[in-house]
Amino acid sequence: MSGTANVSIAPDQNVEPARAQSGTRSVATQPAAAPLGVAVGLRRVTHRFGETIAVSDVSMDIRGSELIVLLGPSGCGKTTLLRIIAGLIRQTEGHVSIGESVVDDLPPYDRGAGIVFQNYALFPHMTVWANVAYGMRARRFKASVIEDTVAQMLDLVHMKEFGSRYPRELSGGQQQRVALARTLAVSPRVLLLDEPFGALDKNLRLDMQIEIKRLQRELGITTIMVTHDQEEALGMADRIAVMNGGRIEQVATPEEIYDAPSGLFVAEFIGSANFLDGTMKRTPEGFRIDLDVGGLVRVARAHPHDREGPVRLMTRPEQLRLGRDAQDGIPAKIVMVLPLGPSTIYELSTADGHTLKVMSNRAEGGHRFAIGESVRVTLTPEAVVSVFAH
Amino acid sequence: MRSLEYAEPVGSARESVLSRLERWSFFAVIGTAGSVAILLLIAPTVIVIVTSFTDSYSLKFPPPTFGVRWYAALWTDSPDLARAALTSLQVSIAATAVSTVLASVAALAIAKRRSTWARLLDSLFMSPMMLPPLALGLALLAYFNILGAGVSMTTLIIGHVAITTPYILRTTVASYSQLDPLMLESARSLGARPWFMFRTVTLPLIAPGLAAGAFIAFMVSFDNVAVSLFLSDARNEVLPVRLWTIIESNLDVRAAAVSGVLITTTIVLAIVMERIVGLSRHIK
Amino acid sequence: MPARSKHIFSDWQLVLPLTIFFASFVFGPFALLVVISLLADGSFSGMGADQYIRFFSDAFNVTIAVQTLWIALQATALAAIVGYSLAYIYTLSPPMIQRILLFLIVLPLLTSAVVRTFAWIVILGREGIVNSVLLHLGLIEAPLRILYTPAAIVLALAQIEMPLMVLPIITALTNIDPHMREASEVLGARKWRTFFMVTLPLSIPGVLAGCLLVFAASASAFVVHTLVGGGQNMLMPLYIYQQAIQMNNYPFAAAIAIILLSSVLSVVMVINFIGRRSRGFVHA
Repeated sequence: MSGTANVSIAPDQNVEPARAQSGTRSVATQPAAAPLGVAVGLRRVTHRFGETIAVSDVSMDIRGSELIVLLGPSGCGKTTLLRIIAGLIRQTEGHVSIGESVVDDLPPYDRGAGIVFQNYALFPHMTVWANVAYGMRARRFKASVIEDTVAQMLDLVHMKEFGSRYPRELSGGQQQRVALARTLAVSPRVLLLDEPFGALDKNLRLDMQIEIKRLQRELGITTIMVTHDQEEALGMADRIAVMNGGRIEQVATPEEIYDAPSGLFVAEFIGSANFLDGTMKRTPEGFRIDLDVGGLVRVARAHPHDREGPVRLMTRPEQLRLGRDAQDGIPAKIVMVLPLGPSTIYELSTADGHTLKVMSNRAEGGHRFAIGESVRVTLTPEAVVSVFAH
Repeated sequence: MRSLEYAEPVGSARESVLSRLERWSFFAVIGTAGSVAILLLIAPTVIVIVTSFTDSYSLKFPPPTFGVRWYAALWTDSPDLARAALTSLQVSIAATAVSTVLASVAALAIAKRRSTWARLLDSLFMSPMMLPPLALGLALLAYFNILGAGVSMTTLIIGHVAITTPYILRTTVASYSQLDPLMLESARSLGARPWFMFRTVTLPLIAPGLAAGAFIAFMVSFDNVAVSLFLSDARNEVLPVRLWTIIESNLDVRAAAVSGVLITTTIVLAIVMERIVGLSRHIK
Repeated sequence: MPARSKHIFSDWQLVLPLTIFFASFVFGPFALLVVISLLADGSFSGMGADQYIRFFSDAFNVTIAVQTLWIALQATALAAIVGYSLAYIYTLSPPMIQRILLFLIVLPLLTSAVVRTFAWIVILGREGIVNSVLLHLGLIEAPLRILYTPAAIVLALAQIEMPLMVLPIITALTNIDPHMREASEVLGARKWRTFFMVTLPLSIPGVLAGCLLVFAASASAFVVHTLVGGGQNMLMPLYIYQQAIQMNNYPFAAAIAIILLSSVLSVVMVINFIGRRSRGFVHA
């Protein structure tokens, strides 16, 4: 292939190559044979707005057909990164590639990406039908193809009867579906979602998350989603890229992110975390950490940091247990008890004022502790904790 | 595993020539049209100012020779213009003062209300802006004639109050409705009495909007021709009318100098007002 | 919100002064104007639609009315095209330039119509720029008579009233969600298509608002009509003035004023109606 492949994303009107390679669009009940999506590559992408650095030296490989979530607090650069991939911003440094070619020089209308914004941005002066047909009309598809595809798309998102309505007549969830149909109608190689569920109420959110995940699997389309909601990320993503201050902190599967955060930021950002400081020493079986607040913890592996010396230990609430007579347990006093149905959350205070959260399952039986009791906190046997340098 | 997804990209995709052409043509057309528009916007003003420095007796552009003859003429040889200018100042200051009081007070009542009568009153008070000022001028003239009052400085001022109130009302209402109601509530709950609260909290906060409105009102009044035409006579001629007369009858070049003075003064005042109260708050 | 008054005076007391003023000096006179227009002649001998019949039965009068509205319409169209370009350029400009542009756009609104019209006399006159340039380039041998033609009036009106068109369009353009344009581009629409399919339709309310203002102003622009049009081009504002002041024929003048008012109002209502229908699409 020549070095300057002229990539344009307007396929022939009569043949839809992208569609052909992604399998049938309409019924699509073959889940396992998910077709190959397009890979996206970021190489040392940096972007500055004047003096501020929004994205800092980001390099990442996004695999074809995966749903990767850019997760982070607001201002961490995730939306900027998404817009750079879409072509709406030209990055200050670095390269973006979609598929086999570097797309830095391509304007948004030539990149073959599709984007759904948080507020959907449906064209208010056009009907649902016209909205969905917009991209195809822009690329001058044949009228018959447009007709069929719009019908297909609306069917796909369960909005078939809404063709002649206007966006203002639709609810939030319906608008989002139309926005999705509109974007998918032109067979984008990459689907970009910018906080798609932010404007929906809670119940609808869950439904739409499942819906989009299902669609994504069926179509096999590479999807990059931006959110600040970790539950969403953990639930939907094949992989998560946690971002902070313009940098990527960790890229891993949801399980790895949760169980083995690579750094303090990720550990704190995802899920609930208990932090305890102490000193670590190697032992024949692994390691032992003598905690500053008293008590000690034994682990087989220390991850990610495994050198002796001062460390910060992170445990999840469900990894801790309360007991009355554990010898090495951490001494603490119960200050709050929150019975939450199937589980109970205890909030404890250690000798030096640290707060610990412990979650215990009702199913496991055992004693129900009361406020004011002094107990000892230990690790459950299966617990894999994270150790960080201090 | 499919290692193809990780393959390094083989080359750069370039924007097609057609695409680039399309983009450039768009900006070229917009740029040209916009530049023509900007030129059209300011060229006449610039031309007037340049012409005012002509040394000849005609309005030839470009002027054959330059000089400040006509500005000098304003100073020495134009009692009529000076008188008219003075009259204009008196009328406009008086009218602005009256309409500021009337309109700002009414604004306080109208601003926060969503009720029908408030909106109705608002539209009614805005009407002079919509209706041809000429019609208002004629109506007032007939009115005063029938009342036997004739035409005088007072009637002139009244007419000007009518045309200036909409502007002050607009800006003051806008200013007032941007006030945080919770702030007023907390002031009141702290024990502030109405007049005290008005003086120390409300008034300072709406003052910029009010000042901007008053400034616009003053300029509108000072520039007005249509109403003044009907409501003034030889004794109370305002400057714009005088200007109109000398241009219409004999293309008096002094008009260029007067224009120069007026334009410069307006620019200076506008800049000052922008600094003080942020004048750009009347995008209707 | 509770209907408690926040001040010493209750709401109706606050609006009372302005209401009294308007009743006495705006609505009263207008009502009187209508009454006067229904008089048969100068004395209060009889009432009827005589004046109106007189107006519409004479081709001369009807031509004047039609000409007035037609010129206003042309000026509005021209102002729309030029004004839209200016507004669009504004939205593409960096903040520093925007402030300057806004100042330049607002400044004419604060300057007298006489001064701004005078500029056009300088430009279009026998010794003005246009003629000088054409003569210089050898395209003509004797100065053209550009001034005092309907075309000159249209051109002058379009430029003078342009700020009234530009400001609402700027508001409309800046209110368009930027995601619209972005969505359009990512979907595959290039610059021109995005403009015509998304930007322009969504800015129509602003365009209509501008047209409304410019049309109303152009139809009643006494100063421009007289200075640029001269006596040969009689339009309604001058007609009113002439009949009232020079011929002392108040009933007829009043009738013409009411006809002008109604024509402008009807066009305004038509534009408003179109605006209401399109606004429904714009506000999703």
